[in-house]
Amino acid sequence: MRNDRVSEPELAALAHAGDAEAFGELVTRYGAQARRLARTILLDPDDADDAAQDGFLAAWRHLGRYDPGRPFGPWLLRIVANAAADRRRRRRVRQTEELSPTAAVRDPGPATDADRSTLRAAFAVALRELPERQRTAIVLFDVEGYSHAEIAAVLRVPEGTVRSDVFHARRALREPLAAWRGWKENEA
Amino acid sequence: MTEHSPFDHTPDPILGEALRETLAVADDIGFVRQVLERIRAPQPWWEVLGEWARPSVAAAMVLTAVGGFLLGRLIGPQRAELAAGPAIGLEVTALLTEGGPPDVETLLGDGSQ
Repeated sequence: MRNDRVSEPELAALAHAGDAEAFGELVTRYGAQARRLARTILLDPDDADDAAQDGFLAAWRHLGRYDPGRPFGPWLLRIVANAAADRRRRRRVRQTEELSPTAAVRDPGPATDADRSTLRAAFAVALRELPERQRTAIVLFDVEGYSHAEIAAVLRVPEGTVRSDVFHARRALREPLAAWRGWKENEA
Repeated sequence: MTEHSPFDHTPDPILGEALRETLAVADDIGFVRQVLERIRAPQPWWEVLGEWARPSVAAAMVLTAVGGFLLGRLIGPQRAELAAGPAIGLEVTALLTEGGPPDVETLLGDGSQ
């Protein structure tokens, strides 16, 4: 893999010229973000990984449309969000195993104690109850660190809508967050 | 620990950590490998067809619209003539508009009344 000093527009240009290794570096940098975003939208880990792959594949085929003057992340995540929405439309007819408390606990994490697992489960439940756009906005803002403007570009909504979505989502997650904070304070 | 308000316009690191764990993704290397395998594999014919479907449908719609317009202009004068129709005698008009049964003389007449 290439080192981190190669800029994303350069990697995208190389990948557009057919350099799969350069694209692999972009997948390495954005893979986790793309998978979390797809999981946020679909609430199903397996479907989410397939959607994230679909998104990367679409990005690879349409790299010519990427504007190197803009950040790569929001452009890619917009494609991943579309791929996830497309997969959700196609799966409507079949039963799905949504992101459940057990699904969240099933994923191997750094902590193994019961408290942390219970807190993660509570978060999974609260997250699942949020409207999809609020879920997406809060994950892109508080987990991935994107600005309101960048999230607005990903979701194709006005910036004010993103601010409102983040606010409402934070308010809805207050209870599990308070429990998480309490647990962190006890840990410290 | 500083309490973050929903109004704050900066990311909340504690909330971010909690959400990150909730949405935990594993095996990044395996994911990268799968993506690279897919981009190196030849594109299936149905996907190629699917990519062309939308522009093809759009092109077909434009061609149909242009063709329809040209055809309309070409046969426009002929349609006007057809719309005018042949000269119909007063007797026939009377037959079509009268409420009662037609007059036998009119029906069998040679139109020279």
